[in-house]
Amino acid sequence: QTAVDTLKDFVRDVKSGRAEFTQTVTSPDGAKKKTSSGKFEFSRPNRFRFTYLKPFEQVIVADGQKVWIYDADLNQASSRKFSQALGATPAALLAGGSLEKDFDLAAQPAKDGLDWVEATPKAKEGSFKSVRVGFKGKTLSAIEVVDAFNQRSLLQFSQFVANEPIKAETFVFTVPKGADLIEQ
Amino acid sequence: CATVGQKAPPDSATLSGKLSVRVDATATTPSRSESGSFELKGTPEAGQLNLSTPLGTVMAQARWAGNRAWLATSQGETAYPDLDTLTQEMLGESLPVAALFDWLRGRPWPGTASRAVEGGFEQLGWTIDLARFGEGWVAARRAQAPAVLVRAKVDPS
Repeated sequence: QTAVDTLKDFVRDVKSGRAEFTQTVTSPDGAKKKTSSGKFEFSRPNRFRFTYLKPFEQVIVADGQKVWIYDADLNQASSRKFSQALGATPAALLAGGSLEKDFDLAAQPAKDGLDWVEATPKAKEGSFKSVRVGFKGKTLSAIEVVDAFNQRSLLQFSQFVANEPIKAETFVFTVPKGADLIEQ
Repeated sequence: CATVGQKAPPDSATLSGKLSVRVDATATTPSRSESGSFELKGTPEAGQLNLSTPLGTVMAQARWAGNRAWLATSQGETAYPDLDTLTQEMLGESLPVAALFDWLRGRPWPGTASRAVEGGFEQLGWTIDLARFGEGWVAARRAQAPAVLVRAKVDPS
């Protein structure tokens, strides 16, 4: 059982899930790290929600067709088609419905106590150098994305709960009154 | 002057935070907007601006040196004769990035005259609102159509 098998089992068996996450973004020169944290929920196919709680409120909601981003501070919402939502790929990897159609998978050596899989998007959209998924045993523990500019974003998950029903409206985004909306 | 609470970061420090740029629609063009977290490094003469998605992926990187400028996105890199033309391409309207270095620090750009107004100042045809600069907020509004609104929340450095 390699991490590739674990990821395939995960995509086949885990239809929905929720977890706490901590996100650490490291700038290309490695000098600056920005951390944020919140809640992640997903339901296959292509529906997920990142609720950022710290250091500021922000949500990213994928409703299956579009990816909505709302920043409470800026009171600005934007929406893009799911396929063009740059940066949706890591979450699409987890919540997507067609893992092997969209990604080439390769097991990697264990590191930081996790078994890792490298997933390379087959569609050459060029925005990622690498997307890696880390498991502790069978439990999803981390996703690390290195983008085309060498900026590194590490999402670490905890308290992962699989296959519990999640309310449908979790994956519906309604633009708050008075918020500025831009449809890209 | 209008800055109270948050003192302006030292000049060479990297400025980072959240930025939203909105360009109103015109008869022929739809409204456009970009927002994300930003990192502004260097000086007006040579520097770099990164715009990233909330998930930490760089959407666009602008670099400039002397009067040459480059814009890199996931689709590749394009060169421009100068920074104004680059921002024109990036946002549909040119953005005075050189002045932004000072505006985001809550002060007029020394490169040209400015006029104090209630809650901020006017410069280069833009009105800079510093009413909430104490919490890191800067809003720059260009009245000339199509109106452009740049709002930034600068991280305390």
